[in-house]
Amino acid sequence: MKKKSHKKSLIVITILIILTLSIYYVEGERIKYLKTEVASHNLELDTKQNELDTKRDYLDTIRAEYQENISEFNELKAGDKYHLHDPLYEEVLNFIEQDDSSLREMIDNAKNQGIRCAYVLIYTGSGSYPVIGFNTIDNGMVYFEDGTDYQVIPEIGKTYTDCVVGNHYLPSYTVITDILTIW
Amino acid sequence: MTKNPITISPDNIVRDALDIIDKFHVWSIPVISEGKIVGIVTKQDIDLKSKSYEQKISDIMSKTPITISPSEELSVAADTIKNARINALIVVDGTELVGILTRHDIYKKPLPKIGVCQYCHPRGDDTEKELFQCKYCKGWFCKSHTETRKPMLAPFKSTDIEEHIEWNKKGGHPCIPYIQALIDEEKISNEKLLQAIYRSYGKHLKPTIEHTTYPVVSRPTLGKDKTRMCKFCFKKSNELIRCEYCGDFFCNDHIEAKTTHDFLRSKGGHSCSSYANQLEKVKKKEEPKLETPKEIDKKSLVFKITGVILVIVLLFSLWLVYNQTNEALDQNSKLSSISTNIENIKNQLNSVNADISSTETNIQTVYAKIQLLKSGAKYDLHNPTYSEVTSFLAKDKTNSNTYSLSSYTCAYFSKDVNNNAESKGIRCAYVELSFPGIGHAIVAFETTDKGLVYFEPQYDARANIELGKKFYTCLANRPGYRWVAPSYDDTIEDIVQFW
Repeated sequence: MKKKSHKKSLIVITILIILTLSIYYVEGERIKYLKTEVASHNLELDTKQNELDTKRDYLDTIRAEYQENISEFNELKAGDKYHLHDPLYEEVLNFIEQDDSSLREMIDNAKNQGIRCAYVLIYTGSGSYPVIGFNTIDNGMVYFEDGTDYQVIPEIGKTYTDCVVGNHYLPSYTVITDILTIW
Repeated sequence: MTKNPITISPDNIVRDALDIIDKFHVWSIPVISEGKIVGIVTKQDIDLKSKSYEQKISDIMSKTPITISPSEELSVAADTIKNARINALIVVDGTELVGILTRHDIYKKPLPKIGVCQYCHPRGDDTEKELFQCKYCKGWFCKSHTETRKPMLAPFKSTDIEEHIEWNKKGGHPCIPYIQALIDEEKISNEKLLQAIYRSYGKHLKPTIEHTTYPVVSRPTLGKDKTRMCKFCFKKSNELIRCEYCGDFFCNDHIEAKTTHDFLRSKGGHSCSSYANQLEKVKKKEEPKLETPKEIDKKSLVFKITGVILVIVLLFSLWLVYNQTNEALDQNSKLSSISTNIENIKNQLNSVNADISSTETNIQTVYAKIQLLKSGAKYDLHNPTYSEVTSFLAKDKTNSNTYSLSSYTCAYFSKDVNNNAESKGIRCAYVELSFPGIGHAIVAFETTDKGLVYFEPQYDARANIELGKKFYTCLANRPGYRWVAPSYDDTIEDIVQFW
């Protein structure tokens, strides 16, 4: 009985050794695979890192360029009441949105910022509507009411209310007879 | 050997051979054809191979009989018989049959002879006596020295009583082969003892042998006296069964083959040495060999050493696997860390790419705006000197226009002068004056030497306007001109400048 149990123990140990060695082999293969994967990932990591560095450098470069452009843009926009420029339509919209003062003050403020604008009198049969006008570079002449900031596209022969963009007013029957633009 | 043995021809039949066996009580008969030995037929051949009494001897004989020369030593013949497991050797001189040597001839007890005793001769007694051969050492001794005893030294210091008894024995001769025989006997005895122990404690291992019964062979009677009889009880019957082990015929009561041991302890059957031998062979195959304590110790030690080595190998393997698993885990963590890094870098790359894209768009937008701004007109204005104003006004022809209430009013005059001045870089203001119930428009300049000056653009006349004053009184005198009061009240109530 003892001998049999010895034999069984030896068989069990041998099987365990075979199992262990099998695991060792399988693990070895897995480690090989993992090492290959690590190497390939490292390569990919290096590549990506280089790409990132390059892109960051490029981003820095174009950011600097952007800042230069912004500076140039601001310089071009900059001015005072003695140095005026015809504005961009976007510039006009920003200005109108920010400025809530009266017409005269609005004209002064625009000119103090170097934006050329005009005091515009839109004549109708019953009187005149004073508005502020800008000769934009991209959209041509644009007109805005002070206070309401409504845009007006005046045309001689049309009623003033029809010329206010968005039809904010009740219709009137007096038509525009003349537009006086005083720069 | 038996000289001039009885022979038989291969053309004879089985019945003839059986007659010879019965008549001369021989078991082996040489088969001769034309004076040459062609085979040998034995009783066993007849029992096992013959199918009928009419069968020819040539069909059942052994065709390659083992022969021996008459000059060969008896021990060689004995070894040949023992090794070939045969009962007889044919003795030939060349090709001539000389005799037949059987197992019985070899092992029968030698007869005594007259001569000098091998034990007495070295002791000075050379008288011729009746001698007997020692079955162990094969030496010839007189009657008083035929008995064997152990060759041994005087056991002076031994406390073993048996040794002293042995030493004090009288007669006999010291025989070395006897000791060997004793040892062999002891071995056999031990084996028998072990087998007995095994039978007592290992009955479950007893092999089962299927007992196949031979079919009843109805044999023709051999005459009244030749009827077959049971080998055990000698009961005559025509329906005997042949034992599958020994080949002898038995009645139904005694056909069961048994070992001597079993036969003595139970009724029925017969003691069959062939069965016992076969059983022994099967047991030897199936029974585990009982080992001596030394062998057990040795095997146990081998087992232990093997076990220890295997355990060491197992532990080493486990250590290898442990290390490898650690390495695998390490590689896994490295891989996951690198993967995480790659993911982070990919995210950063995406973010940077998005930044680049948005920045490039912004650059393009700003660049477009710059280009637009650059393409747009610039206006550089300056505040003029007073003389510059007067000079400008003198050159400007707006004042030569004709006033029209419906189409060219004061506002038109002021607008034209203002726009003309600014087109020449002179900063100019459009000024609205409020009178009671009516308005008026003039222009203004911020001169560098005389400050703010107002001009009536219809006449290019300077106007020193003040709130509450009549406008016509504010106009400067000009040669050839005299300002008269208008038909409406032109008291200045408000002044608004649009630069």
